[in-house]
Amino acid sequence: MTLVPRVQLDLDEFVASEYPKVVAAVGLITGSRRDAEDAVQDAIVGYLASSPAREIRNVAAWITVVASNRVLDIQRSRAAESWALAGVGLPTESAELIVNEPDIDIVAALQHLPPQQKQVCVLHYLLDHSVVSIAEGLGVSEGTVKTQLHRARKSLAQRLRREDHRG
Amino acid sequence: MADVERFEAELRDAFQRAATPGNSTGVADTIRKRVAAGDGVASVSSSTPPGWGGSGLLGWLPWLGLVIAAGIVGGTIGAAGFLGGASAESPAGALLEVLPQGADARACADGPIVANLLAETRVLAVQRSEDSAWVGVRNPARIDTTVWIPVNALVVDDGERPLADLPVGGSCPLTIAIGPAPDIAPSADPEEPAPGPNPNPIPNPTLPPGDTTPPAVLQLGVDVNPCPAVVTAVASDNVSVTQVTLSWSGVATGSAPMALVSGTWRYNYDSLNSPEGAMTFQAVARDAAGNASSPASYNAYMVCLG
Repeated sequence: MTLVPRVQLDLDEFVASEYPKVVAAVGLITGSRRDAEDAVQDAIVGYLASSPAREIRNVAAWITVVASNRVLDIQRSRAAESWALAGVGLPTESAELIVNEPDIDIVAALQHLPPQQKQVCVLHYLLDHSVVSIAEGLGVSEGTVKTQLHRARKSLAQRLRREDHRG
Repeated sequence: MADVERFEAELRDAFQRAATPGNSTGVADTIRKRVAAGDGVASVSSSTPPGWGGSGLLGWLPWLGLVIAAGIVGGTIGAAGFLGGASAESPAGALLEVLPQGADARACADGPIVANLLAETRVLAVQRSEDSAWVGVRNPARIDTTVWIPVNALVVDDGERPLADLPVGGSCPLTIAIGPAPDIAPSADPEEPAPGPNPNPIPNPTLPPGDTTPPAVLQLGVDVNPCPAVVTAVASDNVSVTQVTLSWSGVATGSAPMALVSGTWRYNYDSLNSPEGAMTFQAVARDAAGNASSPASYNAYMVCLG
């Protein structure tokens, strides 16, 4: 195993040009704008403080996925905590993310997708990353990204179009 | 094709409208200070749990992603001697990398799967099994615990300390071959008995006496993409989990035993012939002594897209 040199990150430029968009992306993926900024900063710190095991060509995509994963993990833990507290009769915080409400817009529809589809979808449609760029950022094949995008589009189309018909 | 392109354009517009950009003021300086202070393992918030998840299930990428991130950070810090704690168990661990196919992480050598490491995760090895077939590595997200990975799922860094020099450990405390209960018919009643230790366990001469430790359902997930939907659970116990029962409520109610497949409990929910709508799934694990876990819940909007 050889450590690969990481892509030199111009922190000021990245923060000025990419950070706002990445925070927006993580907020969309997780449905939690509140945690997005902290998570993105943590991911950047982690990137700068450690040597990646592989070359990361698309830092913005990598940061987006790492940060959103951390927020989603926290959300799951909060949900479990709330559930445990409810089980012993203690008051619980209301979950910020409600996944079983009817779809009302793109944000709600997005929350029904599996996490990896959400990530790929937001990277592609919000951050305008190409399939190749996303694949490089995530360290997966282009075929995997295309498949996830296809599935995400199909799910979103069904949910949004159905909502249109209801409305 | 035109429909797809039009829909993609709609998606781009919708995402742009919905997105709230972050405020970058002062962020670069804050990050520089944190990096300079050696803050490479900061959690997102104080509520970040110490445990980690991941079961090798496609639908649970968040847990796995956390493992990737924490694995890289933890491995690097460990290599730099930052952990220190690694030295308490092993004077010097070996830095390893998980092969492209990833690896199941187990509680002990050849024990129950408790998580999954994605490809290229870097881990710090601190122990080996007696036959050197398993390597105990730092749990990347919880550095005071060790998880066990097959040695053939790892790439050993050249020049690192040979694995043979690592201290021996990882034996599972007790293994009793008990499969999932085969004769449990699905019940129309989704109600579960009160969780917790069984007050009247049935004596079993093959089991250690006095097992009052209930199992735990570590994770429960539902992949709604396939039809039928796939419900999966990971459960653990100090001895052995013998049964996991799934119940559901919402637009449909029912219950059924889950089947153990490669360390994961699974149930195919017939979303094709079931009503669409919001549902809550609950899983309860039991051990051979009759102890029941607390139920784990998962909310999902069930719809057959296939």
